[in-house]
Amino acid sequence: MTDATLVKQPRAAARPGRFARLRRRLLDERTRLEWMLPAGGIIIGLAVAGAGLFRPAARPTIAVPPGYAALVNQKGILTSDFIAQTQAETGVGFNQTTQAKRRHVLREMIDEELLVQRALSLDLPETTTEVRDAMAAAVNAQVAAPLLEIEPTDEELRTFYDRHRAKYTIGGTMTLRDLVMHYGTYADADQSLPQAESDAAEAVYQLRSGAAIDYVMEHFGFVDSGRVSDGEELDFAAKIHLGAKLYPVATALNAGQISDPVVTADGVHVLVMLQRQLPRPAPFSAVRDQVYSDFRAEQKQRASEENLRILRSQAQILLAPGQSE
Amino acid sequence: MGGRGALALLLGLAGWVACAARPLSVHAAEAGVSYSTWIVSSDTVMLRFVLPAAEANRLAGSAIPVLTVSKLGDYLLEHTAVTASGRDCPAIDQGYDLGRVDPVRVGAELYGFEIVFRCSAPIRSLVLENRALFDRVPGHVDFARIEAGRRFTDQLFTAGRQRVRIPNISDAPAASLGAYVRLGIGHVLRDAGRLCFLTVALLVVMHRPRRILLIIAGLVGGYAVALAADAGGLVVSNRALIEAFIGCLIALYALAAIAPQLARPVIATRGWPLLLLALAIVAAGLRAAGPALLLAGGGLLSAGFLAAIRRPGARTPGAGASAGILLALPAVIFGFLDGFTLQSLLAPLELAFSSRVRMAIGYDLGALLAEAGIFAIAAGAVALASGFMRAGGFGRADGVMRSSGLMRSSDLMRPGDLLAGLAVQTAATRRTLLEVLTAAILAGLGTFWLVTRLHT
Repeated sequence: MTDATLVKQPRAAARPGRFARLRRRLLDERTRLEWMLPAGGIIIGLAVAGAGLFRPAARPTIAVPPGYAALVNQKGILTSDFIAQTQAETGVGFNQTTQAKRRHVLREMIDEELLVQRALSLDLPETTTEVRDAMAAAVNAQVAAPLLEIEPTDEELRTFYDRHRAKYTIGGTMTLRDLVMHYGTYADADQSLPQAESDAAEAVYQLRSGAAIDYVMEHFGFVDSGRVSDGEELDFAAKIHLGAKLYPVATALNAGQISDPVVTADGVHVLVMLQRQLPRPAPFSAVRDQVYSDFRAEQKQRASEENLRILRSQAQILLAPGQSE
Repeated sequence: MGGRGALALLLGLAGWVACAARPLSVHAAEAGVSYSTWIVSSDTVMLRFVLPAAEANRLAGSAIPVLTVSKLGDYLLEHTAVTASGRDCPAIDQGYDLGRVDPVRVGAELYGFEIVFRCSAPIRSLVLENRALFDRVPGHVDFARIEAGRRFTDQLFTAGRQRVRIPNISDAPAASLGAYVRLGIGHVLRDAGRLCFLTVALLVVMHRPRRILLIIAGLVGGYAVALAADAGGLVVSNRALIEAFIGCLIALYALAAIAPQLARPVIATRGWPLLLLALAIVAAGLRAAGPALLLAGGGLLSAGFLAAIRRPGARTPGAGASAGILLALPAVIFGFLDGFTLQSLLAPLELAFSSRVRMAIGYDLGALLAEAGIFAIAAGAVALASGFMRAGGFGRADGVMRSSGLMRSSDLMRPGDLLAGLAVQTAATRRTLLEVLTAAILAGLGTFWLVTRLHT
């Protein structure tokens, strides 16, 4: 073993390692860090807290943005609306209109915007019936618009027609007499309703037994109600003239038949059907326009009902005790 | 009991009285504000009265809008009036089924009403009367705007000024700067949060009264920066969060006062920031971004601030000035935040730049005067107490206490004076306990406000 091997060589401890160097550097920098870390905490803390406490102020728009003709209390009037309004008022293309006319239209539109803003401020949608009706109609139109944009095919219309075939008829007519026995009026003060009903039942019996109409009228005190004309009437006209209570009774009668007594506000009626031509189903081609109109109306109705169903599901509706809907 | 100990207790009690006393509000918003616009044209005056929803509900005793609107309308009709050239101008029926008060829509969380007063002749001189709410809330303020043609003037209705006389309608006078100064003074003196902050600031600098000047300088700086930001219209503040953060500042100052007295100050210096950061995580989990940012920022600020004042270097002889400046940091932040109070109060009025700045200058000046006044009274009390002690009051023990605030009273004992030494130690211990107790109360109060205001 040589001397060289006996001498203990200094090991790596003599040369500081990376960690130790870092530690020493940190210790050297300690004074600076003592300042920097708290200062950093304070600055970052203030910045973070400030982000929670404040938000940038909304800058009022002081220049009219592209696409707008004017700003009224920060509400814009679209250039496209302005052009359309000018064309609608003048009846010519926008380029053909004069500067004076354009100024006039724009002034009108600004006035209208001011009035609308004032209406909202006054809460007119809550207080004025006309505004509420208009708004409700507008909402219904809006929800129906996507459906109405798609034109129905003939097949769809025909399916609709088939489902509602009873509604589409032509040619129904009737010729009838509407006899009425008044009671309880100034002229018939001694005639009570039970008495009138009893007399009418007897009159119906005699008419069905073959008694003449004029004889029965004179004998029991019936008069013509005046609701129907002497001659033939189309079904829709008879429906209007007779009203909701008598028309269904009339449609159930065939020629020569006499109805049972029907009590209405003006007296006890007896209908005598003289002639009757039943309505025939109308072919699709004859009523296509009406089918189209009804189809669209049903679409609107369905969209409105669906919209209301959603609105109701999201709304909180409280009814006062004793109220129901 | 030592003089400063007594003062500490006094300050603590003042804080509690500030919170408990009936005329004071827990924070400024509860004093209540409303807004009125009086539009004068020919022979009519249209009054538009706007009231925050919270104030309206409190007045009407109902949170149901339909009932509130109905009651408020009647109440306003009874409590507002216009007189022109010595003759009453009655409120007129506005048609439909509206009656004399028309409820109008003026924005979220606000109730608006319009009343039209018709005078018998064209208006030249006017007396506007607004008695609404002053009977319920004496500290209530109505920010009024009078419009005649294209001229606007800003006025104030307060409990002490419920009538505004306008001799010539073409030249309606605006409220004086002094009115806003008084408003600012009232804002500080009526608000428990502000008073507690001033109390705790006094507690922090009690042993070095000259540092009060640094605190005041910090407040001035804070208000000045807020005024500049407000004038620039750069930012909009969130009032509820600002009130919460003031609670955080109260707690932070209180902890700065407590920490040196604790055997293990790390509990305060690390525990408080960690608590705030934990709350920030909870708030973030609840998707409350604003409160989460506020709490996280408060936590980092607290950690940095408490570490800085506890830093060994801060106690070296040359570091006194920088430590004093550091202690003024919460005051700067407080001044800055408080400087946005008027901005948030006036938000619904959308005032012109010049009006807003003029009002803010008066209001902030008033707040500063009130704060400086409180500090001056406190400093005077300390000086009196010190003089009293030096003259031998409460025994010799406290007489040797100096304004240095160092807890080394044993250094001041003269050899052989054992009884005096014991007395000094006893008094010092009592004083420390009282300071810690007062600061702890205020720290708890600040934390309570921070959490509850964030929650609401």
